[in-house]
Amino acid sequence: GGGVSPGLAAPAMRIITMTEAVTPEELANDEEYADILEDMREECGKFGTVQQVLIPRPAAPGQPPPSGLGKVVVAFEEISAASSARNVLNGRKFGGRVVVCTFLSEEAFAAGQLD
Amino acid sequence: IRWEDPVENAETALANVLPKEIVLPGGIKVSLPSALIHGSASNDPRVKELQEELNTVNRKILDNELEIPPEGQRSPSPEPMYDRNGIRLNTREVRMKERLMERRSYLIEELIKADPTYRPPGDYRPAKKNR
Repeated sequence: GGGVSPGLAAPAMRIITMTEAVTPEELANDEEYADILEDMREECGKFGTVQQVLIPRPAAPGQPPPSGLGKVVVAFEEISAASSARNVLNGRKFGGRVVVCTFLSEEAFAAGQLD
Repeated sequence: IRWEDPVENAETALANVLPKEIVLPGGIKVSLPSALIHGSASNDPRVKELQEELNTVNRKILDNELEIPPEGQRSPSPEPMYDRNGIRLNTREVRMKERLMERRSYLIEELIKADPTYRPPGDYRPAKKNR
C-alpha cells in the first residue's frame, strides 16, 4: 500500500475525482441527481471516452454515509483524457461552486475507497 | 447545464484569435479596428492611459458610482433649477453624472485624436461646442 494520497502533484491517472461540485442535498433529489450525472457525462465526454461516472448518494437516515459522498468520480479509458479533463475542470465552476479536481489511483477505485 | 464556461469569455477569446495587425500580400500592414480586437492596437502609452480612464469612467457611469463628497467637503450648490412640473433638474446626483458624461466625451475625443484606429462607441455624439 503506497500511502501517498492522490494530490495535484501526483502523476496523471485514468481516474479523476471532483470535490466541491455537488452537495448531498442535491444528490438526494432524484431529478437533480440525474441532471448532474448527465452534465458530468457530457462534459467529461469532451475529453475522451468515459467508462464510468460514479456519484455516491447520501444514505438513508441512520445509515453511515457512503465512501466518497460529495465527490464525483470519473473513470476514463485513457490517461491522456483524464489528464486534460483534470487540467480543464479544476477551478471551473459547477452549479456556482469552484470544482477541485484530482486523480484517484486504480487500487483505491477498485477497492471502492473514494475518500 | 451547470458547468460554467471556462474563464475566458467569448470577447477575450475572439481578441486572442484575431491578430492585431495583418499583412496583406505585397507587404501592406493593416491594423484591425480597435472595436474588433478589444482595446487599442496602439502601443502609445497616452492611448493606453486614455483607454483605461475611459473604462473607469464607463464603469462609474454604469454602476452609478457618483463619488459625492461627504457633507462639509462639498462646494456650494448652484441655484436650484426646476422643470415645469416642479421637479428639480440639477440635483447633486444629476450634476455628478453630467460631470462623468462630460469626462467620457472628452476621453473619447482625445482617443479619436490620439489613435487613428480607435472607433468611438455607437452612442457617442461629438459634443456641441459652446460659443
